[in-house]
Amino acid sequence: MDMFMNFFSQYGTEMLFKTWEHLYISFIAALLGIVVAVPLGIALTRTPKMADAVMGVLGIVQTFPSFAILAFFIPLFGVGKVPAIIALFFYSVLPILRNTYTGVKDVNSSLLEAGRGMGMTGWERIWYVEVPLAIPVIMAGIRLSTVYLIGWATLASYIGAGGLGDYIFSGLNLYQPEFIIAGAIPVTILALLMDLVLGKVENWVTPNGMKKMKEAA
Amino acid sequence: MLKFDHVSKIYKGGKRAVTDLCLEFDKGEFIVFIGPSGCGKTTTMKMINRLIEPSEGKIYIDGKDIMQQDPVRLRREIGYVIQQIGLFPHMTIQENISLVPKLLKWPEEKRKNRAKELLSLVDMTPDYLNRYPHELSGGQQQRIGVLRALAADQPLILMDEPFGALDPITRDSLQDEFKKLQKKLGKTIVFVTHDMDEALKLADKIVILRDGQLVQCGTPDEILLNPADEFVEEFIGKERLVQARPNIQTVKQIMNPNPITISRDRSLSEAIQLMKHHRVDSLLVVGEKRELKGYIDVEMIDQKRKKASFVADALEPEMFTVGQDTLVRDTVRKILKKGMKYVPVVDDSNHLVGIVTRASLVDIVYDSIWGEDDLSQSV
Repeated sequence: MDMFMNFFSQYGTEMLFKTWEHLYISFIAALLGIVVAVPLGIALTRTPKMADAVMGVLGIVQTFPSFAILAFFIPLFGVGKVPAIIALFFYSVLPILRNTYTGVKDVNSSLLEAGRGMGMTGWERIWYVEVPLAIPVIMAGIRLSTVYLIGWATLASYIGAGGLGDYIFSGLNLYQPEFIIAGAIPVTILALLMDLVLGKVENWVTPNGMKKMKEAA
Repeated sequence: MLKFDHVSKIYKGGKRAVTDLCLEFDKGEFIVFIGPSGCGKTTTMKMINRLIEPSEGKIYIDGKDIMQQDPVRLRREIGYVIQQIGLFPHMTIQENISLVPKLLKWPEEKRKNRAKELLSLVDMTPDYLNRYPHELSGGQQQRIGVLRALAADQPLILMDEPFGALDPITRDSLQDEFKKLQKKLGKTIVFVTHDMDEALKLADKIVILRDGQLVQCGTPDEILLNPADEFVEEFIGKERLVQARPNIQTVKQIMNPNPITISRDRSLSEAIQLMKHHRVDSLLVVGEKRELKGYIDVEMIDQKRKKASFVADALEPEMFTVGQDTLVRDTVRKILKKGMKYVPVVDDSNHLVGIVTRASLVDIVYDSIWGEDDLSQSV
């Protein structure tokens, strides 16, 4: 217990800062992922042939070892936060894209026909029908992706992005388990908290009618 | 109101869904497209609001070619009800009903009032406004589906088997309700179904299609009475043709074939004796070959007995007659409206063949209420 107290008094502020850094890197990457993947996912439902190709390519990218990707970005973007965020962004895209695509594609076709027959434009159909109905599935993708990103962001410290990964890498290099723990535990807590918060967000953005429908079912 | 001018739809690969369709309908008509699956009825309907675009020919609504109009605007002016109801589960009943007004950018207040007003048309209370579709029964949901198509007061409404997914009892009551609503609001409806009972019940005009071609178009009675060919007969079903008979009897079936007549060269005193003998107050006057010349009644004899002595001098030649193949229903309406006591029945060359009296009408009404007695016995 003393050990913890000592560690906290010595590194407490630094740890808070690193936690913030960690959160910030993952968050920006996730946000970029949402901005790109959601519209792309919707667009892909319009061109099913393209969708297969894009999903295939992204699936392959996803299998690249994350370390390799990070290393690969060093000559392109140098070291620091930017290449880390870019690399993490790549990872965040696929789950969001896949969920957006499936969610929108699975919207009952008779509802879309009703919308079209009533005189909705393409945008109105997306905004009033497809997005609200697909939002639970899209949000599940965002949630999954963000939680993963918090884990992956530990690796980002390897290319000088900072974050809680710094402790883990220092601990490994210096054979000091307290540093490893000081990195791993906050990451876990952060991931769990993020999952909780996004769960609330998911609930908040899901249209009331669908929530009640789920309760009834 | 709605006109199809040599309309065809040919899909890629040369499959013809609809071939050279020419139809014309008036405002306020309830038009039912019917035929076996794959006959092109839904395709035809969807061409009206350009969900499917015709390959050849033109469709006019109120004289305007639909292909010249913006499809989105066109669709907002045409109500649309689909088979699977298609209410949006994430929207409240109010939002569902007032969706087209919302697209048309009506102010919030007006939309809400409109939704309330429409709900009252189907006897639903305003507290449904804030509920969600899944909280309603199937019948209520389809009522909302219909209201949604009425929301912006569209003059023309397309309905694609809207009652198909409902249980028979709900369907039946919804059909009645909707037919009443349609008459009240004077909407023109294009209704697609494969259910002949539904078509006969609702339609002002039935359009029978097969393999994308028009087989017959007419009122339910016309189609029941004169099916165009064996296909139509089979499609209507023998049962219905038999069942339909009591409703579409011709005058010939219910008339009294032995009216009391007199010829023109008889004297008025003979006429009055004949009346007294048969206990009637008027006589039909016929010529040698039973051609109808007019009638004479007790009042006329009373007035003219001093001046005239023969039937020919006192008869009234102007009178209303019906042909023996006229529908009973039409005759009944005329008799009741004009307050006539009887109508002579004549054949094509004006020969008297019978008479329909108010007593015959009593028989018809009796028959339609009790339904078992054979008419010919009581006439």
